[in-house]
Amino acid sequence: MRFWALYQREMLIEFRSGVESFIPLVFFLLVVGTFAFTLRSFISGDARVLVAVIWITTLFTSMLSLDKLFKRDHADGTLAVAVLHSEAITATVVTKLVTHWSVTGIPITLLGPVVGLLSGMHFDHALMLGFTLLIGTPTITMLGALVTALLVGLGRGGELLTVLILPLYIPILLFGISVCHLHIESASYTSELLWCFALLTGSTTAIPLALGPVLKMSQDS
Amino acid sequence: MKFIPTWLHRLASPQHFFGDIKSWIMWLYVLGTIGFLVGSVWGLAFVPPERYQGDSFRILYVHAPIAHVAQLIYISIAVAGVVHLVWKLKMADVYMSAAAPVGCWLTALALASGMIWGMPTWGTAWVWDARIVSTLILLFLFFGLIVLRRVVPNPTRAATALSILAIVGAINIPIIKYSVEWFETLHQPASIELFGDIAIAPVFLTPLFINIASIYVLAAGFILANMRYLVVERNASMTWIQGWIRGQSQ
Repeated sequence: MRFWALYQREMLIEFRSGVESFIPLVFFLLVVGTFAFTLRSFISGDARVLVAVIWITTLFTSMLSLDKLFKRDHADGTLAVAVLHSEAITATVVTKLVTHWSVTGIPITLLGPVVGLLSGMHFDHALMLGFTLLIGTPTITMLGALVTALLVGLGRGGELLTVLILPLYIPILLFGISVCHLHIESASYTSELLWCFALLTGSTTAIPLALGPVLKMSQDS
Repeated sequence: MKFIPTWLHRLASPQHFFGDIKSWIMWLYVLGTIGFLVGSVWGLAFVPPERYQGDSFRILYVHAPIAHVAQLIYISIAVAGVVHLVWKLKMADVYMSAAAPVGCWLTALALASGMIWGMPTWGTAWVWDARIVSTLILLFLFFGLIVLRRVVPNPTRAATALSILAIVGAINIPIIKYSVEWFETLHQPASIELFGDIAIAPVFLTPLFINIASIYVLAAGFILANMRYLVVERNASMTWIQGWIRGQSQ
């Protein structure tokens, strides 16, 4: 119940911020569009280019919105109260993660294949792209949130966050793109897909538990 | 804990570490330098040319040991991170901070020597090959650790943040190790495996092992010297350091 109430609060804040909540999506479309326009001769010839473009843009979109993940709650002291109780902090953290995924991950998972279809991608290939994004975006949210939590309250973000997070995103990026590419090439992609699932289960189980202590530490200093 | 030797147990305290380790560093430097010179001269002058690559393969004696030790340092930092999170040992934190720059330099050297080797044999210095890219990522991971240390003002928090980043980054190490088999690549697979056949003729092998051992010893020397420096920096207000400083200035 507590989780549901917190989730409603988070989503309400997202929706009340009005046009601001569309920024990640517009960013996603703008970047994919810029890539697609400049690389149009490659994209029309090879669906694999577009897959890579969409995956990389997904990473950037996710990073863009990470900056504000804990910022407001840290500024108004909500976080300082939440860390006092281990159950409260876990509920808060899980809510934050699910909200971040609802606002960036789900829309991108839906938009990515649509962009692919509109660019002439085969339906099966677009479906597989959507499926890998569905597995990949929660992992991206988890890893990003962990690094963001390490930097809460330092007043540093932007390129420092990017430098710290991007190397950690490489495994999920490589495997996600590999699955799509192998599928397009009609090759076997089972082991790569299993690696995607491994990263998903590993990050979604371990990181929410690690975030509590990390955030607590950020309030001590 | 009876199973830990006393001398090792002593090293977990900054004060004893500072005193005990001093005499080691010079020996590690001397031993590592001599070993590296012996291995390199042996590899450069006394080993026959390789059948396909001629003399250009000889950079292997620098490239392979450095790349190997650089990866190992990252894994050791992740292990130190676990030790720090679980037992809160002060020296684990000191080790992480001291080893990151050494690992960063070794990774950069591994990339540079690989590029030099690539020019005559592959005909190009750089390919966007899985193994090369993952070594580049290793460089960025080391860089991230060094930067994170700098930007977090509170030392306790910095240590924990460093441990967590190192542990999460360690998931990239298997990718570095096995990417050769997973992706299409120009880089050759590892020729030496711990549990398996060695795909190098014995005549090439002895200087390689001498060099691997020497780089281990040299890296240990650098890291320990770095750790001593950090111990001075962090314990500057302690009376035993104050006494040492007074002794130095006389």
